Amino acid sequence: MAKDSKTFEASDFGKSTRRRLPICFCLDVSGSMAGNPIRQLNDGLSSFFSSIRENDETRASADICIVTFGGTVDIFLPFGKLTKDHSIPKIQATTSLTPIGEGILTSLELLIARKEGYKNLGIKYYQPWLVVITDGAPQGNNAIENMEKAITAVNELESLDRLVVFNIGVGNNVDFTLLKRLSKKRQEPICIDSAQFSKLFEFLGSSSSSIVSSGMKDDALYDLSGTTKGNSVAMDEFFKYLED
Amino acid sequence: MIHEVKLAYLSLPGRKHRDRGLPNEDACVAISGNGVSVICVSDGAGGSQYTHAEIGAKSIVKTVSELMLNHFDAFYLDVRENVVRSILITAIQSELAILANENGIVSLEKLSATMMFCAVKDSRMICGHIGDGLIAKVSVAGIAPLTIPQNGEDSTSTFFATFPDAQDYLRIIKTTTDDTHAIVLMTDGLSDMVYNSSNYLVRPVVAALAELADLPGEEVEPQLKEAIMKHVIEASPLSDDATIGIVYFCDTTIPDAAKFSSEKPMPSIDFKDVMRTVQLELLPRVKLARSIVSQSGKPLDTGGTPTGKLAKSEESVESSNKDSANSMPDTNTKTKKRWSKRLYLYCILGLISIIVLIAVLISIL
Repeated sequence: MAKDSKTFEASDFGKSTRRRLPICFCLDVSGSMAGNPIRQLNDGLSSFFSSIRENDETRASADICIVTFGGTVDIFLPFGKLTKDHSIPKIQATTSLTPIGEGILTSLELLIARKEGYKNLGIKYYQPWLVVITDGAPQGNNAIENMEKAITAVNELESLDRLVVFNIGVGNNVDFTLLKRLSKKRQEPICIDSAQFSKLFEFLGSSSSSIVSSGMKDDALYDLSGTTKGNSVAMDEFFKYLED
Repeated sequence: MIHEVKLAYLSLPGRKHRDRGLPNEDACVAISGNGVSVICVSDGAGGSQYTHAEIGAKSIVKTVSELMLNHFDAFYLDVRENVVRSILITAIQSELAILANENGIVSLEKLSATMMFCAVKDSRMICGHIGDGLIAKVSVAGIAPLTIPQNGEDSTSTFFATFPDAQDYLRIIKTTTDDTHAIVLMTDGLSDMVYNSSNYLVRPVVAALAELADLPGEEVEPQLKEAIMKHVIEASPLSDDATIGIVYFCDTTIPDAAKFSSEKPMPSIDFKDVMRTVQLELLPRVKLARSIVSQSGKPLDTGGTPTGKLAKSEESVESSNKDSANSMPDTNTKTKKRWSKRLYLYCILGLISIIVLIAVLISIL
């Protein structure tokens, strides 16, 4: 007997699993970020999360964690904790040193573990983003050694197209030589001052939407002078803004 | 026993396209003739760089279905799997290249699309699959994936018929229809909703959907549309294009889908067990085998194929051994060397003879 369509129920079908885009923010909260910079960083993050929430597709796909480094390395927001109504507590600056390398290595561990988790559960995913924002140079015990380890690990993953790297320097005290080495695909680190955080996070939010909604390729995230693809905010506009 | 075959299909744009006024990028063809029944579906690649994926998908389903319709036996009987795959991909890409030229499209990549087909003649069946999506088999015993989705490292790395090495990824299954009640082909807009890639479970609803193909002709499409539109397309504002193709074998026992399991245990997968591990594990034995062959000075009596394959395997694991990979004894080379020596001797003898002859002539004169 042929089955009548009226007998089909929603429960007969599963739910399509969204492809996930894991993003790890690795943020400098050392002493030099105290005051206005950390306030503007929080505002920028807040607008980033708002833009993620506004887009159904990106909200369903973006999987975000935040690692902070300032004296110690802390997992400020673990993966999987961001919900529609969940507000993110404000990040506080410390009065300590800048263990960038350790922060990046921790972020990589989290991203790799997250990817393994997706694989084990059969969840499709986009290649993870590592967003490093710092206003200084490596400081603390084994700081340079850890930074070198981090650069090697990040370069390897990036060269295999297993990681998208945003190396972002804030202000004039950044060790741009080291920061530049963090990405072999990006010709120069992204250089901003703290007043430009909101624009930076707007750019990151729109880029994540373009990856998820419009199938933009990861390489476009490095080709920042290229023409706009998908429905993103024009990426070159961000740089025009910086130039202006 | 040969059963009558009914074909049914439906392709609907997902809301992520429909709500933005964008076209359905899936394509499907169902065609019968020459005693052959074929269904072919294709999912045009999503993404702004695949500007003409929609027409690519249409071209692919047309090319493959016509090839199967006209040359089923050639594809079924040829045991050279690589030839079968190569000819299919060549045909697809040739038509795409001509289409691209006609439309001023500069790259085949812009026409990228996946491909699945099922062709049946008497009790024989060929299925082919490249990319994501699912082909499921419905029988009295249950419902199971016939070929599972091909997904790479990330969402953009599924495999398209436009890839230069597409034939490496094209799966071909040749079998018979004996225990088959229906074959269901689904693009990922539908398969993502009815197939769990973690435990390889195909939901029983697929068997129920297949049963709609047995309705009176005019009822098939409306019924399929009602079910898929309501529970797949409208289920999410982000739903993808959804296409189903059904090859239904009449007068075969209808399975009781209600008794099919909706649960399946998670498989115990060792994610560290990858092909490179296998290659490294084999490497010492490959080296040993090759050293034996080198020392004995003559090839093994195996037509050379197994050792050749091992040599390739070793090269891929340890590229530094490339030079030694060429050290396998070569009968042709040895024969050539032997003939060179002989030629050299003949030349010397000839030269001596000429000198002697000249000396004799001088002495006579």
